[in-house]
Amino acid sequence: MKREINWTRLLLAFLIATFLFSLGIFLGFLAKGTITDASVSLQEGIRNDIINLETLYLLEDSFPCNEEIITITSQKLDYLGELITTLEVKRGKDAEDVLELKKLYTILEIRHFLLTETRNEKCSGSHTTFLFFYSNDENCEGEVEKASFVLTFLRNKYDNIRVYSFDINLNSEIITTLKSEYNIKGCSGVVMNKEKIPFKVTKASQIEELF
Amino acid sequence: MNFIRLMIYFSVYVGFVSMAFYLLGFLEKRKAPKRLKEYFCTIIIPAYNEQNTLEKTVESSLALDYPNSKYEILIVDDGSKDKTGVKGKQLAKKHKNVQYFYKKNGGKGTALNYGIKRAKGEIIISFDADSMVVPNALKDMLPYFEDPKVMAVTPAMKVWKPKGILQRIQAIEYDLGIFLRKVFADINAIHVTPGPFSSYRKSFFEKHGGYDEHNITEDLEIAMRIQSLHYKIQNAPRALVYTIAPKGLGLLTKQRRRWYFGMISNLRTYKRLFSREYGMLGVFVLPLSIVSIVTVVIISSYTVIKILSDWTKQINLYSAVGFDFINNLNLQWYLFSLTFYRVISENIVLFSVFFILLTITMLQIINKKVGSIDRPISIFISYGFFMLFYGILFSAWWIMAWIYSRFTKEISW
Repeated sequence: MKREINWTRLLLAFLIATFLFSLGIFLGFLAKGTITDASVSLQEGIRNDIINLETLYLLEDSFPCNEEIITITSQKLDYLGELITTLEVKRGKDAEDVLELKKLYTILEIRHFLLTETRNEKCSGSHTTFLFFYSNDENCEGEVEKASFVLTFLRNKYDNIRVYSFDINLNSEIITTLKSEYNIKGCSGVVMNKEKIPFKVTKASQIEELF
Repeated sequence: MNFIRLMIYFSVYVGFVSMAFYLLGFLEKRKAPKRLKEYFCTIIIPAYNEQNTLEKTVESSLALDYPNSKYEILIVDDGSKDKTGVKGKQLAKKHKNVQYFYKKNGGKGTALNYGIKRAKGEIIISFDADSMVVPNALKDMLPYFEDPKVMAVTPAMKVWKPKGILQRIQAIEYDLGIFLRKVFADINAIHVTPGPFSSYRKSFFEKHGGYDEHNITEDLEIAMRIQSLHYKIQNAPRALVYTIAPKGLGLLTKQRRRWYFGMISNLRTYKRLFSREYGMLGVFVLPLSIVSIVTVVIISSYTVIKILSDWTKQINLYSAVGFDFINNLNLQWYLFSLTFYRVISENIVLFSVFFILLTITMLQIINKKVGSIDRPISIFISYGFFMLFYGILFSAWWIMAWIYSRFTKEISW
């Protein structure tokens, strides 16, 4: 004895499901599109900020030891760093335009680093500088995340700390030069006040002992 | 696209298909059959250590809107060690149509068979001693027996005044069960006749034997047997039965382990039901149930592992800074906003919001239709708990039942 199968209802159910599923995927794409649009305006904003920052650096030559300039440029640099990370999350870390922005950002970081070091020497500044070299490689995730977390924590805790982060996988001559200068190998490396820290950073207290 | 993402998309699509199919059935208007005949009915209450709830169960049976002369109530004490016997005897003494029987402990199936042998009714109703029935229930169920192919009619089960997280989760599960049972009835795909107030044609037991006394889920076995013999199981959605759901996690887990273990072993016994011969039950309902269980278990397990590994990672990171949260507030807020960006651009979020809204609407409709006493706010709170914890609990119970079924042959009550 065979029972009936309601093929019409079954077919209708599959049609409705396919429609709703496709609609969901389409709306998802729309949402992603909106985010991409937002990314484009974010990129434009970042480029404007970069020009501003370069002008501020030029001001430094005319007004040496002006505290205001270092404060503003530091804030701007941090803000730009966050914007680029946001963009990296939205567009993916391998997106061409993100990589280009990161290269530009690297130049700004180096200029700021040199500015801070000069301040420390000429204007009796007391900033502690950290150069943080990291790899975006998946195998390095744990080590890099921990070192990054510790350095961000220290930057939040102490006002006079500056951290400059560099993606060692970035195709940039500046980074290659710095890497060879400080003999950076492996997933990460930290340089404090121009001296390479000879151990892997895993705890904030390790660094605090060096102050 | 990784495996788990594919799995999620697959489960969403399957969810849409089943939801569309079941909603189409739910919205189809069918008139409930009109009552033609007053059958003589026997309500069998198997009781094992039910001194606290037995009286309420019997009283709700006595309050049924059905002529007293047309039904009897048999309390079958399955060797209780508490005062169930005293209560049972008192009730039998007080009410003319209540009888009390004592037998040596042997399990629920043996108690029900004991009652069936002594029953005078044409219709047998099994009634768990921890449940209560609304007065109209019997009158709503009996007309379905006018169809000679109908061998059983199931009620609509609800949790009695749910309190606490676990009872509230079960309340939603039972409410969704009301919806599913009604839809399954229309396509003759009901495969469980629950213990509280399911009714059966006595002739079925006479012809095909009573409850399987060795089966841990005898209500599931009897339903599958009815289906396997090509009879019909109907559902009376307004025949409300309130049951007291387990309050503690230990008791609930024990109950679910038994149910799901029973489901696995009975599906093995009745694997022939998975065939074209059994119509929608064989080609759609049963296969879909299995697919849903497997996907929910995989996705929930992945989620739990992911959450645990993220927590471990966070703890590990915070240990690096001596668990100093104050100096990390800015960073945490920044990371949270990044995660938020990532989440809102996921299609899955859209699908989830859609499913949640649809389920809430459905729950409201179901409760209104069956004349539930639950307040909407209570349903809303329960649904919140359901969304948060049900997937994880459900998966844990299924994994447990599967392990038991692999490595043991039997499971105790």
